[in-house]
Amino acid sequence: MIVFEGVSYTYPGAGREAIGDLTLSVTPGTVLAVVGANGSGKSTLARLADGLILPDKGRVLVDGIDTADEAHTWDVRSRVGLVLQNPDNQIVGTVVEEDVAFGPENLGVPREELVVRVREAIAAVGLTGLERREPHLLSEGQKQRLAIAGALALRPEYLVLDEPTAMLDPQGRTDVLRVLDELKSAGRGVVHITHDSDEASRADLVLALDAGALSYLGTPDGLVGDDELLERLGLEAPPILRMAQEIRRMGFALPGVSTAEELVGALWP
Amino acid sequence: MALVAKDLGYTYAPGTAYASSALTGVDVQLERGQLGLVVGSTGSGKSTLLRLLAGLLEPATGSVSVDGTAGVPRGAVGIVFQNPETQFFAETVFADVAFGPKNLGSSDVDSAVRGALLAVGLDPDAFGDRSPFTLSGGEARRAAVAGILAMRPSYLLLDEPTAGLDRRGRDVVVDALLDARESAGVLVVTHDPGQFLGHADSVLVLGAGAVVFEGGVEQLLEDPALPFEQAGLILPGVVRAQVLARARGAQLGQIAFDAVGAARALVSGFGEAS
Repeated sequence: MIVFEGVSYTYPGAGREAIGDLTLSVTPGTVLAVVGANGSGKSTLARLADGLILPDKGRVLVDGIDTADEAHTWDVRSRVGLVLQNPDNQIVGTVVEEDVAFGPENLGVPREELVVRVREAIAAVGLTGLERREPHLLSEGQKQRLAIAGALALRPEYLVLDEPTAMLDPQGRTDVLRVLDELKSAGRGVVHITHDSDEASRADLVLALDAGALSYLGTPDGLVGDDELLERLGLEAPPILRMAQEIRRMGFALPGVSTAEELVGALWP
Repeated sequence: MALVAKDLGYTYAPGTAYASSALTGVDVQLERGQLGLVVGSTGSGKSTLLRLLAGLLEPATGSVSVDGTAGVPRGAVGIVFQNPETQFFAETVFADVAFGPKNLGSSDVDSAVRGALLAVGLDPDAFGDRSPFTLSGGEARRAAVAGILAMRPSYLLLDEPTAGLDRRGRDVVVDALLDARESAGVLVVTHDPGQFLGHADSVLVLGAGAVVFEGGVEQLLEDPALPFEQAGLILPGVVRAQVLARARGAQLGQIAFDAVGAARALVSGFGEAS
């Protein structure tokens, strides 16, 4: 589990806290969506989670290890994979498989295991067959999946993704969301930072940040009715959830649904 | 009164080893007072089409005419490129928006600029004297759109006008375009059609440089698999739910584009199906 205990962080020279007194936990096998307006502290949360920056107050524990414990920095980093917004800034290899191998190779993973890890990571994001492709020839969606594969090759228990679909067209976005679902099924803990309400409604839990403080933590459904909060967060009510809520209000029993397919499948089984 | 294109074709770098056909055999008819959508995945030829319609590229085949006359007269067609806020150059918002109407010899630049700024929700008194480079992302996009509105073109072409905007910014831009439709033809290129679908008079779906579909929104939604998904696009969830329900035999009537209307449509269809 990743646990934040009363975490505060202020960037050097900044006038106010980027994150203030934040407590939360990320459980293996679940997706936590993090939402909030620009400047609300979402990216800071991502950087705190893998020890890239350390709290001024409180502490962050990754499977019991304090990220501030310098003796275990690499232990933390290998447990928490971080994928940033623009994949172009994270690609280092001249071909796909070399790029994916970069992380584990630097950690001294033996050759035989390295080959297996690279193959598995590439397969997990659906890039099998493109191992020898030069990264700049990939589509934006493929590049983002390559960045995710690079993180997966380190076999992290948790993956933190900062707006991984922001640069993508709808096909690229669908591909990336499918990878997140598969990671969850494989028992990884996923932190998905997004400002797309449809994406947030697919998560198990949603955490909303407002000026660095927690303003909501609960199921995606719970966000739907709170128009005032959504407005403050600059979010649209997830339309599918609102639609499901309206159908329930009209007297139809409807289980929790998060996609159009699930909703129609529940009404016309 | 329409912007009409017939059999448009365009090839980049013709006659070289790098020649690539971007568009073939595309017909477009945009009436004044109508909102048209052009959708298609990356590389489908959407941006090339807009440039041809604006007269910025010379078509390799076919022709463009405006209100029955061949060619694109100066000032008749306004185009807003992707991320137009990267093209500011003047010292103040007012001067930037005024550039177009001034160059067209407008007799009343001042009221054209004020009207355009008001249309995009920017108070001319509060924003006119500011440097365009100090605007937030959403304000900058709106100011850029105002720069084109101020020229009062008969036809308005926009490439992804709402991409990257937050909810409030999107709403303002969509409203401004719906207002502009009162007197002009508006053509919007987008791969996120959700916010425009409920207002569009026609949809053109491009795939690999050719027309995959051309017609009204209802007609487009009648087939659950095509052509939106053929073009690599995703329907908004509430619309998709209705299309899927129809595919299961539900009689829904008109497609609704908001969550509450969609819920009512689905429940009425459910009643009849069961």
